[in-house]
Amino acid sequence: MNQTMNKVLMKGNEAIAQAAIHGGCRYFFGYPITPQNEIPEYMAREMPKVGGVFLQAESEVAAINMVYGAAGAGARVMTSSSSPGIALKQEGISYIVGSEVPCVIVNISRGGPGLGGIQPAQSDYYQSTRGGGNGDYNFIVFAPANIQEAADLTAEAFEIADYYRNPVMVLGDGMIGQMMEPVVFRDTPKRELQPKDWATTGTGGVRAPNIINSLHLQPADLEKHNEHLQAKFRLMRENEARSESYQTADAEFVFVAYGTSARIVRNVVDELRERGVKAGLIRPITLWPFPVVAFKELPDTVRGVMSVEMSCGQMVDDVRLALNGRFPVGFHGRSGGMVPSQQEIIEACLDMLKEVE
Amino acid sequence: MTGTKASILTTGSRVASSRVWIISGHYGSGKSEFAINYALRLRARGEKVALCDIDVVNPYFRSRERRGFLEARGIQVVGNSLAVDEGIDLPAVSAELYGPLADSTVHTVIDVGGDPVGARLLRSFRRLIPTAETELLCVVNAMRPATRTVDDLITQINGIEAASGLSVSGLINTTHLLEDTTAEHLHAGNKLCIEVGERTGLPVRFVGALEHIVSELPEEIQGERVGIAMHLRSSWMFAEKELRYGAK
Repeated sequence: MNQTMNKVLMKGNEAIAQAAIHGGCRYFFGYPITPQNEIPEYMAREMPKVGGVFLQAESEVAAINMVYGAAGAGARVMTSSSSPGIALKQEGISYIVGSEVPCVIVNISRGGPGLGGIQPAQSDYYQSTRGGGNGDYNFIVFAPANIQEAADLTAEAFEIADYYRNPVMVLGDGMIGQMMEPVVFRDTPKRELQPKDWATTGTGGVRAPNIINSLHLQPADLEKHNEHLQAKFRLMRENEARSESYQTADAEFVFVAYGTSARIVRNVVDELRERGVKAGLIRPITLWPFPVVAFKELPDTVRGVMSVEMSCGQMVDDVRLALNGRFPVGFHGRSGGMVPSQQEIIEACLDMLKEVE
Repeated sequence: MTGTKASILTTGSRVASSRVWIISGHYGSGKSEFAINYALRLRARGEKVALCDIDVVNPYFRSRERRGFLEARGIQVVGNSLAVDEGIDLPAVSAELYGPLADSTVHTVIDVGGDPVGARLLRSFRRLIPTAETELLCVVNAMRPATRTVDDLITQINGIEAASGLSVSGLINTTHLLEDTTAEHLHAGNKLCIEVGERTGLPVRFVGALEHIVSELPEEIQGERVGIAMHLRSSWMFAEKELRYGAK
């Protein structure tokens, strides 16, 4: 039998929802917003079939707090939304990190600021990697560039969230949520997980109650808690950064792009190489931790690096930090739901090469 | 199937007189690409053609996004009443739709939103549909997880009929996995369509597939052949270079 016969054709949002169930998610709390509505729609239909719970909350704020509650009880739980909806969830996310409970948050992002529009955008990079909630916190942010990767990373996100007792975010622009591609649901890499003996599952009258809380009124206690959290974030920085380097070994010009932008830039790299420009691409798969090693590995032949984003320039900050002045850094972006064309990226590259000469 | 629905032609002998084709079915199965390609084929035969996109389900990948391309080829495109082809997800169907339905000289392809939810819109203007000249077709993509079995498809068809108040008159085999598609997938779709046909009496009216596949399909694959060029996917969405550069 042809190997593709075990694949199915799915919309990114559907594949993410199915992958979550495949990854053990049994609770979903959300609120509708375009362009991620197929996720709650799918969950509403499929969760009951696996004995899980789908609940449409009265708001995004309620949904993230329901996630907080289910995660505190030790469940594998997810919420999804799109940009302004994720903005509403920020307080809950900060509490979830502070209380050290695992969950998965999906952002199928659209143009902003404010209500913005429903077309795809990548202008939630700061929101995802810097956090909109209060306090010193981080979480892993996956940025898939195709539907198979979106499915694989979503399923794995539950395992990683449990491993660190910290949220994991899957960030796809609207195009990743809406486009169709063949996908297969495969085995998820497993981690050695500790039993959730911290969860609020009932004392059975034999142990002290577990308390899920982010309140530490004694400054010394809170500082100690922060040091503990920072140690976890350091481990994530050391062990969880992922990226793909394409044609960078001999490159004179390197693009940095993720998600949909990376798909376009990959074609740009091929086309520039046909024209004799040795172009390459670093595609961050985790936006946090940022894959700085891939930048350290760039050869000295590089003359310029350009961040290409569907935003007005956000990831470009991390590119500058990762390069620490080693190469000139440029930026090309579109916003509002506009998707950059191959041609305009090629022109931006050629312009920058002229400038750095 | 209930007896309250408007009677749409169902027999092969009346197909020659069709001038309205309503393309319905599960979302993500290939409705809009089929609708665009079929409209182009009708136009190539010299017909006056209108493509009416009444999809209120999908926020992206709608046939009206290709308005410029289609109008340049002489096809009238009916989008929503706000005259905005991208970036809104409001159920704002244009009254312009009535024109092509009433004009017996216009061949009209109606691209309906996915699932019974999308088909519900048909109910609001079903009295205007010239039923004797209309085919209501349901796309079948056997690679879509929600429409892989006969029962799933019959549920889908019953849902579309209940929502629209119209009878489905035939099937379109659009089974595909994008550029991974082989003839094997179309065979699987053909088998599924025939099984659905055995239970419902519905014929396989069309089979739509990429040009290089459709031209080599064996005779046992049922349905009139319609070569599909993908008009809604940008070139960067294709993994294979030839397809990438061949696209728009």
